[in-house]
Amino acid sequence: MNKPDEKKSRWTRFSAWVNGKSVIIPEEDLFPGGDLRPAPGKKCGREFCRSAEREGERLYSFLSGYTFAAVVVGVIVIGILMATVMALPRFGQPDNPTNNEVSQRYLEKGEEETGAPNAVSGMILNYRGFDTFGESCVLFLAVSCVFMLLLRDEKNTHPKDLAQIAREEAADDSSRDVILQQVSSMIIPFIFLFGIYTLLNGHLSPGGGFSGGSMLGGGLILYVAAYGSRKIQRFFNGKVYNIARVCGLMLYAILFGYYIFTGANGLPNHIPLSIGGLILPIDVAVGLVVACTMYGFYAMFTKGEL
Amino acid sequence: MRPFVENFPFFCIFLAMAVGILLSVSKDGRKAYWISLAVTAVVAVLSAILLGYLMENDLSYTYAMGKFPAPFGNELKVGPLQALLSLTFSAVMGLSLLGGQTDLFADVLPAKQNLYFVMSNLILASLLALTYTNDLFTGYVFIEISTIAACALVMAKDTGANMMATIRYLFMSLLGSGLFLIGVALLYSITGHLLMPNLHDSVAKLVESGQYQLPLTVIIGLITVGLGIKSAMFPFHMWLPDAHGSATTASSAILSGLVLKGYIVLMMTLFVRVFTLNTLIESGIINVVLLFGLLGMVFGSLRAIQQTHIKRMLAYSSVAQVGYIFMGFGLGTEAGIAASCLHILVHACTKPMLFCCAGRLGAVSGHHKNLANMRGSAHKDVVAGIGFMVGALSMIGIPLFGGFVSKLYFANASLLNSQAMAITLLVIAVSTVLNALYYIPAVLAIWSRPEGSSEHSCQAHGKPERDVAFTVSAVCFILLVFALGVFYQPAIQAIEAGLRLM
Amino acid sequence: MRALLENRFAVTAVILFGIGLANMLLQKNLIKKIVGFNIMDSAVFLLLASRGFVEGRVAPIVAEGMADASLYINPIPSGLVLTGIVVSVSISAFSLALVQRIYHAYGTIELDELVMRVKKEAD
Repeated sequence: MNKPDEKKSRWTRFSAWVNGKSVIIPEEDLFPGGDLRPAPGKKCGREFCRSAEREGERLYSFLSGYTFAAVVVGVIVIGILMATVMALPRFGQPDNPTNNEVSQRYLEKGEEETGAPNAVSGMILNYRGFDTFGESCVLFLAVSCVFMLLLRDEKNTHPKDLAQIAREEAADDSSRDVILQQVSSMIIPFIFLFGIYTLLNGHLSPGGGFSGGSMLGGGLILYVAAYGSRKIQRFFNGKVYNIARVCGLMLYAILFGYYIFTGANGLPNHIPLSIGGLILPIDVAVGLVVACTMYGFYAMFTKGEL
Repeated sequence: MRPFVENFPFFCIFLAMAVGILLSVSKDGRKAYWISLAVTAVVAVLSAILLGYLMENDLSYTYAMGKFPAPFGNELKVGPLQALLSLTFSAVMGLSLLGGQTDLFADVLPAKQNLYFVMSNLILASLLALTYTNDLFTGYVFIEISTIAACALVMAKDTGANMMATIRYLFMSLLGSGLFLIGVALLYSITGHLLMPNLHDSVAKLVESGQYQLPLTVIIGLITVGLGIKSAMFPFHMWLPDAHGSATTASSAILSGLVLKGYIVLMMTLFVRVFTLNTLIESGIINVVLLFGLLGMVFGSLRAIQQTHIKRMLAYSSVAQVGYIFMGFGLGTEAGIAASCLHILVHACTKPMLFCCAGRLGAVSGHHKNLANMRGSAHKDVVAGIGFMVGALSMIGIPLFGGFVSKLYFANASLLNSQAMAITLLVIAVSTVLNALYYIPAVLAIWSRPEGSSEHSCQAHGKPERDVAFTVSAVCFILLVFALGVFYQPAIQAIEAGLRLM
Repeated sequence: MRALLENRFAVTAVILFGIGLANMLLQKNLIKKIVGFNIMDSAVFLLLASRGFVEGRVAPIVAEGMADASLYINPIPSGLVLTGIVVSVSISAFSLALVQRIYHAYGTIELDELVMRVKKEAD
């Protein structure tokens, strides 16, 4: 009896939707309590004008359902993983599948093929150096992202904030902490020395670009904390920072690109193995990148500028 | 000494990375933009030459990244399929940047524009690396690169809503990479290898001897879910509409056209090259993938129907289209995977075009993103209107457009799978109808003049400025979609040769 | 029980992974979520590092003239863990920066309040 009626109402709803006046299927029909955040444009429809209270209630019920689901998922994941690790090869046995010809070659031939007695360094910077290049790029990317977010610009800083930062800096400059300054003036040379030592000995002993670089970065951070940013800007401002960071990565890219090109084409390369081969220069490059990244994070999070 | 052309994949990856790194010191956003466009063009040309060379010789080869071949050092494996994908990725990347140019320079602060192009170049590099890699761990590292860079593209617009979308995207991605990494760790501990050919041999041996059956199944599951979360497989797609809907036009285009595909391609490579289809069928994972794919096709479209915000509608449509790709994997046959590869190409060309056109239509109708406010906007920029219509028709699957061919191949592939044939065909049909249900009204809305006088709205906003860059990119996109819809044979041949030589 | 003891590191890693996962899924505070993610990653590193250990062997720094693989543990997992740590540091810094900006924009980092405020802003 009311078939044409219904059809007509459907058609009106459809045309209303084409005209953007409402939605074709009200959201509750399909997903009761579904999405956390419907599109902003939807609020115009009559049925979407809810009071904030009801929104809150809906959110609450969604969240309690979500909590339950999350607990169930978590328990299932843990159960599966637990069963899996129990079925894995036993811990610490010499005949596990992992101790195969690959690790044997890294250990036995590593020194003559890469020039590094430290098999881990040899592996990450020479055999699998492309991965490590990607990894340095991850660091580079992360610090670029933090720049994008926190570098001061008209969108994320009010003049009020700037004034406050200036006040704080002035207060810091007028009364620097004497104990901190004295202690750091004694410690910082040793931190740098040890960082450089670790950096340059990455192919011989535990250490290398990542650990040495983070020590250097830590030294820089301590220096800024003790003496203020104005002092470090005399030798390490944004320009120098950018140059160091890009030079580090480009040095890695060029050296390793050359190595890949010659290696893949069966050409002889002219990298001497006696003084650490590729490992030493790449360690230096990685160290630069890591030190800059650590310092960049600190500078961005504290002041929003270099 | 190998032929020089075989070095091209390595050149492409390093070129994109090096330019990305160097752009971080440039001060001028415009210059960085043109350099990035040049990089995508160079990569596209090199990939095209490589594709020609590989097709001519019917060849695939491994390229050691250094002196040491598998299983000792990193490796790339290059075949026709990889070359075709990298050609598409770089071309689409360039066209998306071109098409979203105006919005991009308006949305991103001038001081930070160069960082945006750092991200876009590193995304290109990571897409290429994910396509070419023959090493599981390289895959992990580049997954992370593309995750971080993609999040940066989302937040580049720098509004509160963007930040929320980014953090949601980031958390979901982190969960995905955590699961993927634990999968890699477990796989390493039962096989002792990270290079794909050796993994393949070890996995085959384990399957044959029946050892470590449970861990192997769990590993396949973890890797599938991990990559599935990142590529918006159906139940894990919750982050996608916010992230893709709120970003600037070029970002939305790059994210849904390309970044999702990088993870999918890696998953496909792992399925074919490491685990092999037979293992997947025996472990039952393939049925889960099929189920998720089918559900995604239906629910993605249903959610898209409810949207009035045009970019969110397109984003939900991406969920549905990704569902098609997973459905192809889930069929568990070579034909299904070939159809999925074709659909990857089609979607990579169509969706960025839709996003660019939507961005342009929004711009000419006074920066509205709501379909209601965009009525008649196609008359203000005819190219954008035509582009949107072509994209919509292709996504629905009308003959002559790219989407039709891939749907045809999906249907053909499903005929080969006797168990899932009926349900798959049914869902393809239902999903096609649902696609039509939201794309056709959208096309009608943008072409129909609003009630009242049309001059009134024209006067309100004035004559919109011409946007040459957008017009060029839209025309190229339209041609690409037509090319895929009419002259699809070469693409099919390259995909089939590529899968054979995988 | 024996099996538990024999695989003690892997079991610990799974428990830690669970703690991290639960934190990531259930915490409403964004910073706690990030901490949860860090716990989760550390668990994976523990699992990975424990797979490389071989009883009775020493760190893989080859001494002069003793290039015998049966003396040293497997270097590969250590290298992979190094890569993983770097990735997790980068991502933590990125997400913390995001949280800082979100706090600036909305004045809270509790997820439920944030959702409410975003909604209010959209209205």
